[in-house]
Amino acid sequence: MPKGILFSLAFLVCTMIYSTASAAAKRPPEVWNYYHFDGVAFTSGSAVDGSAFIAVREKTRPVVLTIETSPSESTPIPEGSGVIAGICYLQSTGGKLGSGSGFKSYPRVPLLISTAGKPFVTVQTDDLGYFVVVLPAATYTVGSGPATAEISVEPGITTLVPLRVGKRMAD
Amino acid sequence: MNCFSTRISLILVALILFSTSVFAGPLDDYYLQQFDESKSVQLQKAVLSLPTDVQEAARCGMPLKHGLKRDWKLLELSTQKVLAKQLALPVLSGTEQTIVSPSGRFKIHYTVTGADAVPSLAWVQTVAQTFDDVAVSYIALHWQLAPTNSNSAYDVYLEDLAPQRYYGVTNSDLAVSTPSRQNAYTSWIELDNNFTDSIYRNYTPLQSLQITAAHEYHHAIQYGYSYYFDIWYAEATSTWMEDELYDGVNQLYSYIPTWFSQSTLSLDISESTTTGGGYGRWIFNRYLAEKHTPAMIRSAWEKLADISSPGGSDIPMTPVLDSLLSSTYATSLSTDFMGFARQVYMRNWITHLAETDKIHVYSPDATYVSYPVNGTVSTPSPSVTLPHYSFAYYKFAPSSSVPALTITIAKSSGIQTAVFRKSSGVITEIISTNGGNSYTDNSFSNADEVVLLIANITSNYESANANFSTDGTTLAVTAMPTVSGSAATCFIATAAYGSYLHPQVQLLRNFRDDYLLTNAPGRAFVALYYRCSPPLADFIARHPYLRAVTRLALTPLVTAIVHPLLALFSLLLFGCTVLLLRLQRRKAASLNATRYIVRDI
Repeated sequence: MPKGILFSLAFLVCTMIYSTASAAAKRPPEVWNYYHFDGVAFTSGSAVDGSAFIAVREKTRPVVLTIETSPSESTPIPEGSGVIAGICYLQSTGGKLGSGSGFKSYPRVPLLISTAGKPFVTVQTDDLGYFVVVLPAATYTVGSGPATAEISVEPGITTLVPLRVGKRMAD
Repeated sequence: MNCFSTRISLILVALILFSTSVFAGPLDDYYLQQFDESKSVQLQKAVLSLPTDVQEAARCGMPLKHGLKRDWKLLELSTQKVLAKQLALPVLSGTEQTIVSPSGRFKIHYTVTGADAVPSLAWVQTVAQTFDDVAVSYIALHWQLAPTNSNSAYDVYLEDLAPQRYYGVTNSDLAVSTPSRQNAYTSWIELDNNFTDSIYRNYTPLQSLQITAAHEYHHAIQYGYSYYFDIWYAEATSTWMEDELYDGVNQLYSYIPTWFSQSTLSLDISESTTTGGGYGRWIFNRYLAEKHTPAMIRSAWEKLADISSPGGSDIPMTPVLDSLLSSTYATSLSTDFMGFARQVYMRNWITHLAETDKIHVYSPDATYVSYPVNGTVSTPSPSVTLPHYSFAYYKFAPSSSVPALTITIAKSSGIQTAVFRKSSGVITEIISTNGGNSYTDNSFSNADEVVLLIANITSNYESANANFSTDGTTLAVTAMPTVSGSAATCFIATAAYGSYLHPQVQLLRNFRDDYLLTNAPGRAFVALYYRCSPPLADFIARHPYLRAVTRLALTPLVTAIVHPLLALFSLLLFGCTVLLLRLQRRKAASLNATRYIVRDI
């Protein structure tokens, strides 16, 4: 058999195996992934203490949950849009007699979201301190005043944002 | 054709074996999620982008909170209870009453019923007077008092904090930026209502009140300088101020032993009474105050107030201290940290002399009684790896068989050493020879003890190391540069596997720690890797296919670490196969050549 055919055959076999493996490595798009806030950042998995967490799925609006279950409602994100989801929290540190480290969520607070220096929309955190907002792809400023978060929203992507609204020195 | 089939088979087997690692993506997510440990691979962008994208403290709760405060008295009590809990305002167990301190600076909120009830009105007045005294003391020390909302009185709430095991709590409130204090915030304090619970048993209620008022109100002052203070230094300063204002209580000395017994932890680790982080570091402030005057500590906070927050996060304090010491006091944090480490042993404190005995003595990491001391026979091994701004002591007990002691040290960049000799209770420092790598005590057998101090006095080397002996033998050393972000991380592997906690990454980290960092060539390789890999890892992390390819490429290494014998066997097998094929090829070529020769004949 000519060497060229043998080489092409070998290349084809290698490509097929690699492509199959790569495809298998991809997470099925219908799977919900859970993220909880650990006081510093969002971490994968639901919260062990029964507190709220965010369920995220590709190209779907995230849902805030307290029990690990697939959300019954599934709202697709419009084409060309992404999501900013997060929590407003109070950081707690210190403790002379025990650890005072942790966080406390801030419910029902308004959050101004602006882009290009102009207000775009105002959202409010829920009873658990979480917020979810679907936005067209662009760069946004979340919050107002001297402390803000600059987030670049990409189509189909959910960006998780913890917003520290205060520090609490516990001793 | 046979040769081709053999090669294809080998390639197929290798690919199938290597490709199994690609399946680790969802598998590790599954396990890491089960153990609630890791960040996910699938939404890596969302998670990885957080630290840089999120600036801070959008004061998202503040407008509503402000309005709620304004309309508070218009609300029903039941509504107040619900909203106050949600917005973190204190809700006392009974009807809230207030008194204003004699100076008018403080408003004390209290109740006389329920769990939060105060013991008496006299106690509330004592609280008010104590806060006034604290404020006067801080004014005398030239600290700028804590800002308040609309220049009203500073709010202090008396609550039953014993169930939460707190003395007091200081909460940030509103931004009150001024030209000189751009990051200033107001605050309010919660204090235990009586300090009579058994958890406060070592001190009288008045003593607990005094040090807590001094401590918490200094946090309030700190919010006024900059909201973005580094928490470890905030606790170190508030704790130091307790003794500056109320010298007779002395609770703060109880936080020192946990630091000195774990002095190989960095100066700026997170606050914790179990490690001495934050609270225990107050003694470093005393050293700085003794060397440069107490005003130096205030100057450090003033310098902090002039600095903008890096992306909305807290401002690291060690560079601020270093900058101040360099610019104003003609020294550096490195010099003063080494001076402090020396002071831990020498104990020649010059203030609060009546309390010097309360300062915990140094804690040696090892005491050697048999000689020689070297890396072969001594336990624990005479070597140490130190993170930034940390130190370790080693004690040598005199031996009649060792009339003179020479300590030879090999040390990496970032390390500085000193040797002390104590005889009849008198401490002298032994001058080094051989370029600072050797110390000799010619009358060792007559000494009480000889002590070696090894300190990493820089922030540039996260894993500086040193080893020593008494017989002149030492090992090579290499310092690992400090890497911003997660120090000592296998960057490329983390990017490829999607999580620092992935078992394969842990495996590689262990291999690095157990095999590479234990020898000079390995340490040199790791240092080079840490210099070169972060940008590459960042690129890999953002490209899913590259991550899969990297996992494939890392598989032979991971397999070799997990199954070294199997890897060796495979390598030998591979080598033999290649050799065999080459021999066969040569034989075939030789036969062909013979045929041609025969034909020619």
